[in-house]
Amino acid sequence: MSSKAKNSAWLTEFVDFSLRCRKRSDIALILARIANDLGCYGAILWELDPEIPLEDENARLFTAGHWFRDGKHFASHTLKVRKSLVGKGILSGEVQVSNDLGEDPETAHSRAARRFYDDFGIHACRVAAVRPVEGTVAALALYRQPSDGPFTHPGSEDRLVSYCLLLPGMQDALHHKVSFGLIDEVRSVLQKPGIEDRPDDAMLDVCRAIAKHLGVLEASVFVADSDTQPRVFRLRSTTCSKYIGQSEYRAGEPGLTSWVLTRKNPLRIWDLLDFHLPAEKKMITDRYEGVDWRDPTDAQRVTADLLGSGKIPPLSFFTEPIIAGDNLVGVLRTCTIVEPPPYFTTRERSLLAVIAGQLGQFWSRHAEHRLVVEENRAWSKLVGSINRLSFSLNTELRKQKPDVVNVLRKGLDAAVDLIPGGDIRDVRLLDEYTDELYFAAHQGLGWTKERLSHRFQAGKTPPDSYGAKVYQTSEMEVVDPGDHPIYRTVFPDAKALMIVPIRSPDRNYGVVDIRSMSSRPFPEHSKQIALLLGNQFGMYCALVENFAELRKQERELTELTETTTTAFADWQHQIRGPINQALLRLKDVLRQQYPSDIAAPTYLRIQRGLLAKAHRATRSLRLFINLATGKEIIPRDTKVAAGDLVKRLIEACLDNRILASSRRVVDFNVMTETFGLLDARRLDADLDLIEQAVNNVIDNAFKYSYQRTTIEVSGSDKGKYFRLTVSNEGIPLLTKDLDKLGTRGFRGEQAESVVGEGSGIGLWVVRNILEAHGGRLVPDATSNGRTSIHLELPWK
Amino acid sequence: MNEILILEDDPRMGDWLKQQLERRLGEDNCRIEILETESEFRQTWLDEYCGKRRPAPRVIVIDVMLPWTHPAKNQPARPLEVIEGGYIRAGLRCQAEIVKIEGLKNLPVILYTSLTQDDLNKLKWEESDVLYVSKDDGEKIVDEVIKALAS
Repeated sequence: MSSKAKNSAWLTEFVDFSLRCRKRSDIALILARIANDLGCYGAILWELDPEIPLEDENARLFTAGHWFRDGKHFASHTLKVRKSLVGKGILSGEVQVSNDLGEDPETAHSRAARRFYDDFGIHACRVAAVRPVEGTVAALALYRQPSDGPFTHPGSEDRLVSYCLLLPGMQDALHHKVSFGLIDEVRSVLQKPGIEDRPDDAMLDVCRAIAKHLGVLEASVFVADSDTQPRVFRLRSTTCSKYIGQSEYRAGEPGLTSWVLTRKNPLRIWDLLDFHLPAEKKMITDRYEGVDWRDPTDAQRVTADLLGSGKIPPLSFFTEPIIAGDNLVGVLRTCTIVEPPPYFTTRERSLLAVIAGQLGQFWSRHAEHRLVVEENRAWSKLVGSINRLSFSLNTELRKQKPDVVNVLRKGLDAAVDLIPGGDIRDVRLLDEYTDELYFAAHQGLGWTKERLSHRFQAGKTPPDSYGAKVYQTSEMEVVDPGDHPIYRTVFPDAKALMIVPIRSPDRNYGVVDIRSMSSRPFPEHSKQIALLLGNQFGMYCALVENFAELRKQERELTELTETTTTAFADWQHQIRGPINQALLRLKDVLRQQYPSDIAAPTYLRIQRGLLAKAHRATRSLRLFINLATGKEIIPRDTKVAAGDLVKRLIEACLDNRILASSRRVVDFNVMTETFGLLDARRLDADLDLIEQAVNNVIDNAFKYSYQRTTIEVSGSDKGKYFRLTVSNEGIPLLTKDLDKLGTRGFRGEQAESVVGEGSGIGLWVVRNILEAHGGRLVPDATSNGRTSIHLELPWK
Repeated sequence: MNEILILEDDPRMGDWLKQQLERRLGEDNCRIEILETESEFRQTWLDEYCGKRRPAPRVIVIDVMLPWTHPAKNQPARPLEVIEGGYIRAGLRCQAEIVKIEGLKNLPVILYTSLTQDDLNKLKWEESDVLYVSKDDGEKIVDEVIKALAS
């Protein structure tokens, strides 16, 4: 075999062997291979401490890997560049040899070096600089005991130089395997389905992965809870609770972890016994009273006690800030590398920075997810709350003297679940006699008689309180209560305050205050919910007010109605209908579980829908009272645009669809194109009243339609009138009943068989609305299976 | 297994009751059937029960006001007592049918309605052993069903 072939054989074998190494500690196997090949007792791969430049007098080296034939572990882990043979090799770039280390001028004055030579029985050393990679400066040192003989000159220098050329590549390959293994594991942990719900599990798994792949004793994550104490970084997970001296940190405090929090910079300390931050070092040493950290034996005794192991690695400390967006959310801390090599190289430090980055991204996702979950939960709870409130409202409405404060008190109860951080809640209503806002209902902590006695001028211009401002403008306010002298007095602990108006479409009743003791700002959805609550409260106020009036007229109403037994129940049914429909639509949307990005606009739409419904409910109530007591309906005529009318017709159809049993298969078809004529000619009408009328007709058509049929809604020009037609296929309307249709209390004979609630009021209301507009109700007897009801309104 | 029969024409109320009962009893521990019309109960369900094609439930919950049927071309004709009594007594008629049947007469029946006590008095409805609950107090209806199942 030629020497060239032999040469390439050892090279191939070395590369092949090195590339099969997988663990970080396998660097020792690579070094062993080199040492054995070159007949040496041991080998150390030295790397420059990147924190101190090579030019610096204090530049030093640390072990990036070592191996000794008898399995000994290296006791001294750092070496001054300028006081060592290894350093000389690096600085000169030439191979250095010493066959009598005891007499070597470079090391003679170093006690640590002499102790190392003595402990390991080393007498000879050969050093060669390793080809720098990515800015690292390193050297490979081979050691021999007397039995190994001296190093010859040049001896196997060529092969040593070859190893030094190859070593960085092998080290890189090994590092990549470790990095990919760790990053893969971390990625799979952080991308597990549903892991955003279990951040502590995720972080613990990440810590465990770091401990496994990098061989550290402690990997810990400290995170601040932005909701409660954003400045306190608490331990969320760790691989070594025994090693944790302190479970929470704050920026600005003494200590290494706090140092990172204060500066938002990583901190890397190769050896806690030998680092350059005196204050922090003192704090560490103070933690272990009675230990002389300058005495290596004593220090080792303590570390051995901490680690429960005879192998004493240096106490290293690597902490990376976890940043999400621009915010510091926590720190990733690793301490003490228990698997050799005992120091991290620049590569591993970068790896920790990458993982801290991934944790930062995860935390952002978790925070967003938590907000979405919280938002979804809040909206779901809102449905339950409105349900409960509806029951409370109904109970209150049944009383002879309904009191809205009872309902509002329950509403405030509900708010505690709906608005996180809404610790203190109250309703301030207007005292009409004094024109002041007073605390009518209150919930939460810290209320005293004195606080409750505060009153606020409602009508003053400009307003002298936020409550008055909200009352006057009907615009929600989110404020810092500390900015206002009165609020600061009433609740000095409150950190945030939301004030929403309590209003119905017709008037303002007061405001709802929601105070938070936490410094976390109210999330956007909480503001929407608060606004919705204010609107609901306004609706309740209007309904209770109107019901009280209605109660007074009950006797008169009973006389007017033909079906006396259900008179009041029917009225209630008619009035509650729109509110229930709005609620159902809200529920239906929530059931769809829209993705979060479209959820907010959807909720806003529902909110607007609810408002509109409340508006209609209030107007309907007034309308019924007027009709029942013989008063005139006075429409608010405005030009009807085709688009507006069609939108309301579609809504009316949707409402019926939602309200119906899933077993009723009836379709709707609003023939949009037939309403285009409204844009060409002028029609004036009160759209709210028209909607009420059409709703009643569509509701009837739906009740009486057969399965698998379609209700059609269309518009047409009928000479003097615009005609809106609702036609359906179902229970027939007989010619003999045509004249009576629209008479109060009349129901077709056939209708009796299929309808539950209702007593012939619907079409009577429709007829009155149309007549108030100068229009008329025109029913057609059923022909060819279809029944048509026409609502005719005069053209202008 | 807690088998419960609910007669309720309003799907909102029916769904709500079903949901609440499933939540309280556990979805796997109960079987809830909802009928929406009087004719479904009297002409279909009772026929099937008497023909031993379905078991007796453990509790029956009835809304007092029910339509006779859903609209259909061949819808069942209304008996005389339905024409005369109207939909407002539908639940009471269903309850009257239940007590006539040997296997059902001892079953707990819970009737609920949105009618006021005055309205019920005008209907001349004798409460007998039947439990009356206000429809507005949905939680109470659920409580009563749970209580009846436990007894």
